[in-house]
Amino acid sequence: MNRKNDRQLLQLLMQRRQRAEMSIDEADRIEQRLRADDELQSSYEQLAGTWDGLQLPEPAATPPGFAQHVLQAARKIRDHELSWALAPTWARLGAAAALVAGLTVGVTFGGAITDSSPFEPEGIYADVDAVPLSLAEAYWLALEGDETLFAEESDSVEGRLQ
Amino acid sequence: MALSLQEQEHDSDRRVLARVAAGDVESFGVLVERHEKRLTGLCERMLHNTSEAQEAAQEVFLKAFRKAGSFQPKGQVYTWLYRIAVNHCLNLLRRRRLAKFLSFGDVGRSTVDSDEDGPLFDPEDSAPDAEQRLATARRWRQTRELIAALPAAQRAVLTLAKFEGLSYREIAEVLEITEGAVESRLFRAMQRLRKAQETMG
Repeated sequence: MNRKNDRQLLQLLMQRRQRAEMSIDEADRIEQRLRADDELQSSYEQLAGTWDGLQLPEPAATPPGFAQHVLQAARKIRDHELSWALAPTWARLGAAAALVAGLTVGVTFGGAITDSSPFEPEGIYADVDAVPLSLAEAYWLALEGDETLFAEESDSVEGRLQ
Repeated sequence: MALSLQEQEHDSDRRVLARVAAGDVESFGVLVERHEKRLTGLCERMLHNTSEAQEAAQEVFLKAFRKAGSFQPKGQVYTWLYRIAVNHCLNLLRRRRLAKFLSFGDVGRSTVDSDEDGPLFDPEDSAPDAEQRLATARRWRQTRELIAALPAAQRAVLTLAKFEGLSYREIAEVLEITEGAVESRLFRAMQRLRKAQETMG
């Protein structure tokens, strides 16, 4: 099986099985070769068995109206292409110009915008005490022991309500 | 010299496609009706799933409709359609494998990358040929499993050769490879299938 010629011969046999076409001389030559080489004969029979054993059910019938359904979709595609092709020149040029302008702005300034404002959490929340607490957060903190926070926050809420 | 019936059909296909490329949408219906059975069949044999195959065949025809202008008149229309269908199915299979990989595989699911087991078979059926039908269903399932385990390139060649009955020359034209490459891929596929069969017992 490792010999190159044998491999070629088996490929040829596979081809014969698949196409069912081979000259009589060629078929005779191969038959003789197979009879003379048991290993080759066995390999061929195994491959042939595998080939014959491959079976699948007949594919399901195409659903009724399949062609009409495809044709309808094709009409929609063509209508869409036509509507764009029939659009006034100024509209097509305008759309193209807007696309080019958008891409130019994106390529030119996209990097600069993202690089210019790095996120600095320490700057925003430098003074943690300055961050206003919600009533709920103050309540939970009060439960944990810091009652002054709850008193301050509830005073401010009451003040707002009044 | 008079053209054979098959050549007349190929010639007619080319003329119909030329009309489609020139903007005649209605002519496309003729082409769809002529090739719908072959293409849905090919998609089903590639994907092993009837509903997915019908959807794929529709997408293949619409791709062909969009590409009608790019068809090279030297080739055959049906091999061109087959090429679009094979590439489309291989893309779907790649996506399916990727989705399966990303979901870390479904535990307990069959190795066949399909959600269908083919035509329904009732094991309780008391018909005299029930055993034979069960054996046939088992063989179909085994074939699906074997083919599903093949690399995409070998799977395509095997499907076109074994189930579509295409010649090496036609397969080479569909896949845009040499006839030697077709032979080699088919042979490697057969060797792999034989080994897999031995493993399966």
